[in-house]
Amino acid sequence: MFLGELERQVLQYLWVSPDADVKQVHAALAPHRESSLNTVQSALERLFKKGLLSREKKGYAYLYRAKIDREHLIAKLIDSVTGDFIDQGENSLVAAFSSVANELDEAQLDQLEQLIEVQRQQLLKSKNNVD
Amino acid sequence: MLINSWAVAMNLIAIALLGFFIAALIMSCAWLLLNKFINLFSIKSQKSLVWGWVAGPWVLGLITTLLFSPLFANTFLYRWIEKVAHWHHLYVFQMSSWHGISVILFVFFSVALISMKGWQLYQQNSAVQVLNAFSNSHQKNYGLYNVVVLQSDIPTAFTSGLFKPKCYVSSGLINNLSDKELDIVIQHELAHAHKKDPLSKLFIAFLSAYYPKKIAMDLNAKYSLITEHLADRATAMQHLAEDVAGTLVKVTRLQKAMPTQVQNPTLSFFGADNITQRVQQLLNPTNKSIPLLIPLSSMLIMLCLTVLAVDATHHLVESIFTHS
Repeated sequence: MFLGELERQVLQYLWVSPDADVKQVHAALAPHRESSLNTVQSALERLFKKGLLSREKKGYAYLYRAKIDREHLIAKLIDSVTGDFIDQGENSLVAAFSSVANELDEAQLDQLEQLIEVQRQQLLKSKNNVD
Repeated sequence: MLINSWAVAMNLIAIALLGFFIAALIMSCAWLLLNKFINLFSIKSQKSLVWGWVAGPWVLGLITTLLFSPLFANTFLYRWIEKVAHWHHLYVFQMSSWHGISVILFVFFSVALISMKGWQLYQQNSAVQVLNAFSNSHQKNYGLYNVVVLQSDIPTAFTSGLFKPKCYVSSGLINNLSDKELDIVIQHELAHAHKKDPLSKLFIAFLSAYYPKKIAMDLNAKYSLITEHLADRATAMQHLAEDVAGTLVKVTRLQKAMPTQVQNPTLSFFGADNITQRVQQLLNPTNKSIPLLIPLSSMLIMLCLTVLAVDATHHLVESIFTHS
């Protein structure tokens, strides 16, 4: 998912001030960048099409709000960076330390921890014997 | 219709292609029969075997072409092979024949594949850029190492980038780990960066794409796990293997503890097997190397089969469709 600088600024503004129309977004961004109303409008449109915004018609204008909060968007981005696109049969090009292992339940993790502990004890014992 | 040198070149490409497909078919069957036994050998041997599997059809296709090519026409080997296998129209090539069409289809497939991988790469790079911007990322030094810290509660660490890979760690992970555990995570990621694993994964993904989908997925998953094992092992040079295994379990627990709406099912690439296998490999590493004779003799047998099958398939198809 690619977001241009303007799209990122729009999204950041809508996280703080939801339900804003294009004029409000334009006015809020004006001190930071020179963008025409049309440019801001098309950025809103693009974000809407990407499924990141929802909108509601109020009079003649649409009121926009973010559909996804910052933390969830970051989760989604991390997912697209570290995810292995398993359903498409594609492999990710990053190497993650470990990914969420939904299939491993608590009991299995406990078991692994026990296994590690047993080995730790054995190591300690053999070290003591050598000393 | 092409004749003489152009025809020879096109025929050699057609032979390479036929050899490539036959070798891929033989190696697919070999994978289905033998992939369970790969785990018996050391991780380094497993890595070489996976590379052998993905590069195999290309190497066998190329050698088959050389054996049929007129370059070695005066050698003993060529005369010997000619008795059992030959290409009966080396100096004539018809673009509209099945050879021409298969060459064209192969080129189309390869171009589509390169574009697809390029697009995937572009999308991942874009995601990294946006991630950097939104998570107020900043570079931080941990001892001698430089990593990018992402401001996010999601506990994650990964390495991204093809030629200059960078290591990313989230604040959510940093805040929940001890100094030693964090060092283990960073060392593990640096091992990936040092080996340029994202780049080698791209090569494996590209080369394996010529196999049937199930086998391609198997090969990619296997290679991905091998890179994890090797990074774990590199980390275990600086820390106790038990500590590395313990950190792995702890990070998995932290990731599981995230609210389910933040979790995403596609993040679960490392299934139960993978974390378990990594812990077991850290505690009891397999050190048995595969004797070189096994892959070499297997390749030789597959080469003979490929050469014979190229000849047989060629004759079989042309007894059905004759060149016009």
